[in-house]
Amino acid sequence: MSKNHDSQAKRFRALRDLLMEASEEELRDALAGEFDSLADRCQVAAKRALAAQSDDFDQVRDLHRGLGALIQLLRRRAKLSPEELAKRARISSLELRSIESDPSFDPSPRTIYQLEQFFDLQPRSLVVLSGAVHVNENVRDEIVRFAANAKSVTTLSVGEKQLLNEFVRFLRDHTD
Amino acid sequence: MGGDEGFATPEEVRTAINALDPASYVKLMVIAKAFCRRRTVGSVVEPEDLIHDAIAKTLDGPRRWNRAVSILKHLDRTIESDSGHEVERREIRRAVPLQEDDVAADRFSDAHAGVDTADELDQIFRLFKGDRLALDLLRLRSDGYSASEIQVELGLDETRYESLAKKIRRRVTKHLNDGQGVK
Repeated sequence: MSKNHDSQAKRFRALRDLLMEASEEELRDALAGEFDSLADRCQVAAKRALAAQSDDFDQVRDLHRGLGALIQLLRRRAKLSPEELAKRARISSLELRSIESDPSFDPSPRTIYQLEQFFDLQPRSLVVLSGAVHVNENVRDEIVRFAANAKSVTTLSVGEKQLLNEFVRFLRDHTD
Repeated sequence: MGGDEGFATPEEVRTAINALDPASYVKLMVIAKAFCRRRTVGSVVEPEDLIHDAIAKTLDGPRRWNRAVSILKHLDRTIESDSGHEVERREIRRAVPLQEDDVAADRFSDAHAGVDTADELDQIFRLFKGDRLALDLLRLRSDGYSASEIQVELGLDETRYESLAKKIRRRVTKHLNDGQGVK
C-alpha cells in the first residue's frame, strides 16, 4: 500500500508540474473568468503571510533590544568589561558584544543559559528576551520602554539602578 | 539563519514571493484548491490557509527553500506535505477512537491518502478517454519522462507535442481548479 501510495503521489506531482508550465494565456483560457480573482486571492494570502512574519520579526528585534540593554546594565553594575564578563560567564566575547549592540543578532540558547546563571536571574527570564517564546503586548511594551530608558554610560546612575531592579523584578514576575 | 548550502534566507524568500507574477499566483491557488478538495471533505481548511502556512513555514525555517528548485515548486511541495499531514490527523481523530493505538492511525492515514490520490489520478486520466495520444503523453509525463523523451517515445515533432501538451495543460488546470474537466 505504501509503495503504491508513493507511486501515486509521484504521478500527481508530475501532473502539477505540468500545470506549472502553463502560460498566462493558457490559464486564462482554462479558467475562463476566474483568473483575476484567483490571482487576487493568492496574492492577498501571500501578502498576509509575509506581513505576519514581519510582525514576528519586529517583535523579536524589540525583545533583543531589551536583552541587550539588560545585559549591558547588569554587566556595568558588576563593573565588568565585555571581555571580563565573557570570560567569567564562559561565553564568546564577540557574541556578548553582538547581544549588547545588534538587535538582529540571534543569541545561542547556551549563551542565554550561561548569562542567566552568571547573573543569578530567574530561570528562563532571559529566554523571554531571546525571542524564543511569544510574549503578549503588555510585556513587549514594558521591554521596549526599558530598552529606551537604559543609557550607555560607564557608571549606573541612581535612576538606572532603579530601572534595572524594577525590570529584573518584572521579568521574574512574568516568567513561569 | 543564513543562506547556506543553497538554501535561501528569509529575505530571499520574501523577495521571490513578492516577484511572483499573476500567473504564478493562479497556479499556486489552483494547486491549493486541489489539495483542499481532495483532502478536506467537510472541513474548514481554505486554500488561502494552505498558502499562508506554506509561506510561513518557508520564512520561519521548518521548510527551507532550496534555490535549486523554483519557489513555486517549493511551495507546491510544502502544501502537499502540510495538507496531507494536517487533514489526515483530523480525519483520523474523527474516524478512530482516541484509545486506539498509533499503528491503527497510521494504517488509516495511508489508506485514506492512497485512495484520494488514486481517485484524483483516475479522474484526470478519464478526461482524455478515447484520446490515445493524449493518454500516452499523460502517462509518460506522470511517469517522469521529459518533453524531449516523450517526443521520441511517441514520434512527435516539437510543434505537435506542444499542441497536445497545451490541450492537456488546459484540461488538467481546469480539473485541478474545480474538480471538473473541460470539453
